[in-house]
Amino acid sequence: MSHNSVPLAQGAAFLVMRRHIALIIGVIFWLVLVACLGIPSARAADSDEAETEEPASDEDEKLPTLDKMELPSFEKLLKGPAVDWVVMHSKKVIEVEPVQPRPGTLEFIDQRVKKALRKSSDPPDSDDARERRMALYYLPVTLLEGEDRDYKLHVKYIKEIIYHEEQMLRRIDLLLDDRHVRQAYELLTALEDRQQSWPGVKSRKDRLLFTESVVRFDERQPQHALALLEALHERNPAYTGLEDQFGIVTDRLVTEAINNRDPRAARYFLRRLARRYPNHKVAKAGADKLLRQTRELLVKVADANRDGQLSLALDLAEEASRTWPELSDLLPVYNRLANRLQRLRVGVVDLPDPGDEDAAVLLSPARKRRRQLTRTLLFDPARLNKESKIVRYETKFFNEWDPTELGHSVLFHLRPWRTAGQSQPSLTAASLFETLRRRLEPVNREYDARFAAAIESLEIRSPFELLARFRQVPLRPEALFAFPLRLEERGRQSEFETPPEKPLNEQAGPSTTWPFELSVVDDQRAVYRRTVAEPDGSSNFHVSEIIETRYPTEEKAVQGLLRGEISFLPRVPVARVKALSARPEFFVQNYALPTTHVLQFNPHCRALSARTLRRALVYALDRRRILEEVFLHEPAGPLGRQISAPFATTSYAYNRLVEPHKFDPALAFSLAKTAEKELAGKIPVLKLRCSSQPEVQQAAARIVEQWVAIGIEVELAVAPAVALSENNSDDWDILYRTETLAEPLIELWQFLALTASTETSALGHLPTWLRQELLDLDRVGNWKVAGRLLQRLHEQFWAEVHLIPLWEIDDVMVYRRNIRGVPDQPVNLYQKIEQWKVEPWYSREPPL
Amino acid sequence: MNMKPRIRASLSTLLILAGLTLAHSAYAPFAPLQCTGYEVSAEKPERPPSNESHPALANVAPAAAPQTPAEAVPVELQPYRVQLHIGFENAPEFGGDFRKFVLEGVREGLKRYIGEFWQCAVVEEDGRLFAGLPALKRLRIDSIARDVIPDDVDKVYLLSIQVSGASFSIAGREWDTLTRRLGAVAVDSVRGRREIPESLLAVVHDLFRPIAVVEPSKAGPLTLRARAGEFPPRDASWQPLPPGRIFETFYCFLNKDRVIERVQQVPFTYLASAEPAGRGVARATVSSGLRAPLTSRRRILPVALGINRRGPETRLTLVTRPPARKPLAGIEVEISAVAVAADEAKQKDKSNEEIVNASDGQEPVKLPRLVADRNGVVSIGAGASPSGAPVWLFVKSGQALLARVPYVPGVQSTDVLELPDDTLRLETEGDIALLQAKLVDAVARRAVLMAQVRNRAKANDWTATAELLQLLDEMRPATAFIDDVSAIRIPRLKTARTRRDRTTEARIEKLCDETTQLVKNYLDADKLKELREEIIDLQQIAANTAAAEADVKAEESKISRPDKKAIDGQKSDTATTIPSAAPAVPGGGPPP
Repeated sequence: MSHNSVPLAQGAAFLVMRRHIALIIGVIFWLVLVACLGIPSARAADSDEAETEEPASDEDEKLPTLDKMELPSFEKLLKGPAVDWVVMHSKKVIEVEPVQPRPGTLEFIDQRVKKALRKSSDPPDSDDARERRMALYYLPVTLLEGEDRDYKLHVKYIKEIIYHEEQMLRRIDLLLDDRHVRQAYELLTALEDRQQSWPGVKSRKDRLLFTESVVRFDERQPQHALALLEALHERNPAYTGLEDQFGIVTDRLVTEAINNRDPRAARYFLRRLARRYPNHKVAKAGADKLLRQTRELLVKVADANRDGQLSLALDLAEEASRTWPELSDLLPVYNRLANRLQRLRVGVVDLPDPGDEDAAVLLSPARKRRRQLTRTLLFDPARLNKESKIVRYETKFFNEWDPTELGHSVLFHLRPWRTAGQSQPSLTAASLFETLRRRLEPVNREYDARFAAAIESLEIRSPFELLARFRQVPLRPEALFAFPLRLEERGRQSEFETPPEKPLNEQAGPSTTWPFELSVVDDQRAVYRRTVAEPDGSSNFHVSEIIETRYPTEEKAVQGLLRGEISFLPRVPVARVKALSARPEFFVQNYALPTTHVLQFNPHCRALSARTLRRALVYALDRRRILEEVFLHEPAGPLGRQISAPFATTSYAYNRLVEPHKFDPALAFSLAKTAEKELAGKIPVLKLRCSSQPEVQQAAARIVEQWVAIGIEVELAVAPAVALSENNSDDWDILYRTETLAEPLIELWQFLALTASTETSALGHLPTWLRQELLDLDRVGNWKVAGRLLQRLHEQFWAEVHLIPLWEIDDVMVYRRNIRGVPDQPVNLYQKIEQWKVEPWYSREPPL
Repeated sequence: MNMKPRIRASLSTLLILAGLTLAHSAYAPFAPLQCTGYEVSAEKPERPPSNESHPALANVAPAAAPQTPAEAVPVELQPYRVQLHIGFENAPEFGGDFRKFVLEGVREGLKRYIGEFWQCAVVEEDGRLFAGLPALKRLRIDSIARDVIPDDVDKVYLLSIQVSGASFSIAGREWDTLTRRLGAVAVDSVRGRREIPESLLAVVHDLFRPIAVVEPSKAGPLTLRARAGEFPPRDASWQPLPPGRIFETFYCFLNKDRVIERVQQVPFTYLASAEPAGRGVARATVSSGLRAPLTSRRRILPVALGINRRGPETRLTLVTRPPARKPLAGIEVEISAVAVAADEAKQKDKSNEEIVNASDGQEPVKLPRLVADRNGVVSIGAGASPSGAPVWLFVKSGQALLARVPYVPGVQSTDVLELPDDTLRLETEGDIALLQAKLVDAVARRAVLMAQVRNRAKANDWTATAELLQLLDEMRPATAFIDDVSAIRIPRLKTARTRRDRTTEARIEKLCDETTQLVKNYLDADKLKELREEIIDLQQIAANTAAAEADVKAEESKISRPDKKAIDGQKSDTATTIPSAAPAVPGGGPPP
């Protein structure tokens, strides 16, 4: 029914009051007269005492009748003053301020009067007692207008009282009829605020939930509708039509989920329905449908397996496991396939995009992961020796590498075979020679000036023996040879090299990468496949595919892990680690080295060449606060800490005597002003670039805020990859990098140079004395001197502020216990990935 | 470091010495090292000698043979004795007749273009010197057998002809027997077989590096006397001394019989021929990084060897001086077209010094800065000097200029520049930089604190002022910084003195003195003292003001008390006059 169609709604009560003010005054006069004469009026049985004067009929006629009263609007009910309607037996209505007590005012008066009635055995009343008893028949009312508004009204003239709350309920009913759910909810809430236990509130709430559910369902929000129905079910399982509506909503949800190829969601909705109505026909039909689909999928699995399409068979088996995992026939089929073609499902927030990774210094996490999966190093940093604080290297290519001539040369004995699970190219002395030769030639793109300066000669001793002779005894030959192996340039092979015999599955193309190849990338996932597949006859299989699935946020990725969609999270926000480590189905593994967060300056930026400005920038940062508020959500210390060097505090290179610059905004402001004078002008707007990692973006924004506070304008932008240009055309001044320097002795150079180049000109922007000390690192002969040099460099970086070390975070990887072979405290993500195993597992837990 | 005064002084010395030996050098003999002495003849021949009876050739005697006095022949009258060795690839295209045709064609061409400028023999290479282009490229002077070339030959041209697809590749290389230097390889290509002789001549033309005797003078430019200058070639492009030609310089050391015993290159010294001063004679300007380049003494004869072809680059190795000869990695090399670096230009302008041997009026253009690699090598591309004129290399180690030398990149594929060891000074510079960083922080922090002290004092917040003053007192004093400077200075100076390295010693002293001065200037204790006095004054003023205000208030209170009494008295009087029971009248006026 529409608002205007209500018969009582033809004009507001206040208007009635104005029209009939004279009439009201007359009634009031009459009432007062009655009161003064002490004549009680009563609707009780003792009519002998009911000697009251009736109001004059002409005045009474001016009052509105009930059918003419208009139900107050939603706004008036919500904001206007509360008004009760006193309905007379003549159907006339008097609008008064809320009467008390309420509800059941008349019943209360009746009971009160009955209690006060004189019994036949009682002695006769005195006049005062009689007056008091007669006064009980009167209802005190307050009119809405007038100077003297307080009156008493005998109950015998009152037919009923329509309370303000009752008016609200009536309005709520009308609103729900019109599906104005929000307004109805607001009014109901307002009513509850007035009096929570008002009769009719509960039923209106039920109706509100049901109506809203219908509305949401019609608005194509079936999940919302289902939630409302569930709430209603909790309140009133017997609500009329609830079961049918449950069925309608669930049916649509299940159908949509199946159409979206999300059977887990379908099971989830069916389970929700079955929890309320175990024998609901929709629940049974849905379960039957899913079960039937699963059986069909198993038939397809068998067909694909018979045709030798292993990957397709596993895809179908995985789909079957998601559709109806309880099916007993599924488990053996799935186990057999998943064991043969092991898939590691990884949850990430970004996926790799095409780009030149060699030149880039700021890499997105996706590109870093891609680099680790598609590059094979001759020597890999493998573990941290906690006593010496030095990272140890391992290799897949050499059986032995013996120093000869008192360390002036090293004889590499190459492995002529691959162990089970390994996925790397077969390397002969000739092909290794070719690889090394390319690093020695300045004209080659792979030229490594440091390597070229260190190597005096290379000699092939036998097909699997190569001797490298050094100009000077290197401190760590492994670190010197820890570079990616590139054998793809077949056209430039040495004339001495004979192409190694390769199996069919290893006939790699020109862009072959090891140990994995990026096979597929789309918006949702990236698939890496093992370059050297394992033979079918083997009984010991390892990870064959790595599927990185993208989630919108890290929190969603954690949810994916909990649901069993993925099994591995390469990096978990520190604040969430505690919750995950308490769960028995997961391993929580720390990396050997923390991730270092550093700000680096563009050497081409003229403004930042002023040391005073750089020092102003560092003093302006309240690093501890950012670290604690953005990353740790707890005091700094066990999970992350401030640093003063670009390498880990656990490294032998870290000088513990050098404390991080203290936050001193006044000093920063003073230095910034000095820098302005040095630069003879205002400091230009600096451009800060960071990766897309959410926490990093947040921290970078806080950094910018603190710089702006001392008057240095900085513009922040997210960049997937940033490189240092040669022609000074960079679109950035400061980089926010997150890196881990496993061996500072070797890696520091390229880190500072912001390029992959190890040529001395790459550090041309540094002062000569600092460059000399970095060059001395290459020539250093023992660990003691190396440590001393690095610690001195640490001190000098602190003084010169060529970079701003921010903090280090002890990052953590979390993976399901069905993943085996992950090294204990790995230095890198995906370390020894070819040796990992993924035991067959799929989630058989109910989705709720 | 300013090297110019030294260069000027040394040049003066050189010119004096050159003047003393001028008479000898004009007719100085020169001969191929180790082989033949070309004895000097005093008489100038009336006509150019022929191939058969050339006076100069007639006076030639092997160095080992007994020398007979002979008349000196001016160098301008000594034609070049040249051999052309033409090697043919063993290919069917190059038959016997064709080879003869080529040899004859070259002979004819030489006669046609050069004439008496050269006394030339054209022979077919039999493989004793080289066999093919790769061998030509690999050829080293030490690998050439002594008996292959006659002793009296001045220039040997090694030419190679090869089939290269549908065309013929012509390559050649010059060997100057006097300086024992092999020139760069020149390569040409022709389509037709009959064009080969002309192409060979073109290659020889490209390869030819003239020889000239250098005559230093007391003042003004040097003089170059070209060999065979009196026999101008028929083709003018063969002229030995065209204006602008660049020469490398060599010293010929003579024995008492004025026979050349050995030849040594004058490092980093180049001559540029200027306007002609006669037939085969031209003025020349010298560019040198030496203090005393081209001295001419009784037994030293400076000669010049023209530069024609250049390689793509020179790999210049920077090493410390003997005996260590340690590679100087990370050293910076700036290249400039003029003898003054861009950053020094302003200082030079102030001192108004002349730029020695530099082209006046040129703006110093800074070319890309190079950094020596881990082996101390910098690669200087020939493109750094498109015209072939010497460019100036400024070798710097941090703030110190280690050397300033001219260089023609590409003339030699490798070269070595010896420099002083600057390690000690660099270490000092690093320590000083570290100290200065701390100093800058201290100065800035002190300035901030002083400003805050003043602000607090003006706000009469004496507690905060005292706290800030306390913080100022707790800061590192200037003396501590000076002690740090001394801790850097003393051991380094001791080491420098031990090494007897006065330059480094002076540089370390300078660095430390400058830093000490900075400390004294910016952490002056007097300023703190002044601040304290200022604060005491402010405090006194504040106290006085407070006392004065208190007095004023006291006075006011003294004054105000009687007034109040008076007012109170008036009020009481009024109260007495107005009856308390009188009704109040709006406005407070008396009742009617």
